[in-house]
Amino acid sequence: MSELVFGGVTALTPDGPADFVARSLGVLREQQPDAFGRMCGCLEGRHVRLRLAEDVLDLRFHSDDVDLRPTRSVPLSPQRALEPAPSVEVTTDRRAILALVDGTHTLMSAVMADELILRGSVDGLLAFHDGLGFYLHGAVRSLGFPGLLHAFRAAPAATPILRFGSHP
Amino acid sequence: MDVYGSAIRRFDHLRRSPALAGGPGGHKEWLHFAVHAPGLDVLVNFSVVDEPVGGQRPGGHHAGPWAETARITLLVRDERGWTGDVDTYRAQDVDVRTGEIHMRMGRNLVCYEDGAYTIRARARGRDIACDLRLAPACMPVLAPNIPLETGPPIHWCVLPRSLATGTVRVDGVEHTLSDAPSYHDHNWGRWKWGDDFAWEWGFGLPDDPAEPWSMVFVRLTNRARSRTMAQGLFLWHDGVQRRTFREHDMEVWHAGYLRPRSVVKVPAVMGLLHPEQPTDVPEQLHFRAEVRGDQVVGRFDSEDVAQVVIPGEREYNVTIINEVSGRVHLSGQVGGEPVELHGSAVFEFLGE
Repeated sequence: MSELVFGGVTALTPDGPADFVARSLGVLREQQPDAFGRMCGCLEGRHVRLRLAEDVLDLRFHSDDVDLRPTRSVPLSPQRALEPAPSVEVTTDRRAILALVDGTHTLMSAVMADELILRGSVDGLLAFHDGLGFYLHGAVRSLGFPGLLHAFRAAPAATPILRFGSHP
Repeated sequence: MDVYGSAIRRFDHLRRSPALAGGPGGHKEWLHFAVHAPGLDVLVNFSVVDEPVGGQRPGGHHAGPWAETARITLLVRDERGWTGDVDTYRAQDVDVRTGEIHMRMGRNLVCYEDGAYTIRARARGRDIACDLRLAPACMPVLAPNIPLETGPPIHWCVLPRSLATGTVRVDGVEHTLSDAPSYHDHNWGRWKWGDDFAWEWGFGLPDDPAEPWSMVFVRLTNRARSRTMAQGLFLWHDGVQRRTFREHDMEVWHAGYLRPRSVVKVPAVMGLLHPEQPTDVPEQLHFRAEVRGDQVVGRFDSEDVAQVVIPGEREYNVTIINEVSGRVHLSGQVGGEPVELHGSAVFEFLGE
């Protein structure tokens, strides 16, 4: 993954959840290269689409790297409409991410509450689960994550996602 | 008068990492305190731990450099259950004094002065705080060089009985304590989380401070808890260590499993890596000890558990320290005197 790709992630909402994820992958790559590599290995050849509040972040994994592309500002072209669906699509928002970090949600309870929506094939979701595990193991061992999280927590809340089946 | 101060300063001073003087890294060291009052258990742990500069890589050899990371673990249990957090402090906010009993992390402090430990601890993002003065009420015991099969030995200094006075605040409720029974110990060594060892450790203090007996129990096993490496039961009477039972003097066994409705995990984010609610904490831990005519039988009844979840250093896994509040019961005879102890206790069960 080139610096250009990370540097190109400029269309995301500043301090929004997608911006946080993009920055965190950069910190993980720099500070926890082993965990970063294992995460990439789990997801090699897969395309993960993150729908985080108003932003969309496409992650395309290679054996030891990942390309990040924000798609929020990219107009939907006929060519894009014909692209294959991502292996895994993840929809969530700032509140759910902080609830997971603060222990008020587990991954399971967030899914059950429709605050974390996962779509994909079984093997795609299993690979995502394994890759997410290495991301988290790297995150809790990284000295850079507390600062990132502090900035994310301090940023103003954005529009929550539309939830399915959870309206009163 | 500071009756115990000389021994405390001699045994309980901070060792610090050999890496600070060009030696090997990987040092871990903490000052641990537990305080009990009616309806309230408090655990405070000030630690400094060597961590590889650039971050940990499980299983990898790290020759250096190392940087000390300072943390405070603060756990409180009231009628609402356990709550707490783990806060990490940057080097510029930390003052740890080698050879003294003094650790300051931000506005938090533990030190020994004027015949007592001062503890000031506040969780950063939670309404949990304690301001306490612990006056020692017994002699400390130093247990150095406890062997571990997986690496360098672990060292331990234990002061099972103090009287705590001050305040503890948790989620808007302030508790005032006066001469509340308290426990302190100090561990240091160069083990790695994930090594093939586990410990079961706990103490018992009488509800009535006028009762003379105090106890500490410890057992080191392999990680599967199928083989015991060392075990001991230490008894104090009126401030003096009176009897030690070791190894083959003792039998230890578990009964049942604690089935808590929910388990608080700190730091909370580690719950993502260890979301499981069931634990392998026993419902009861039993022990029996006998040597040269002295004999005791005891039992710890588990009531509630909080988990400190620590990233593994050998693999991408976690180590769990189960902090279990409950009651201890001990009876028997030592030196011709009856032993009777019933009171609050915290036992730790280390596992994965």
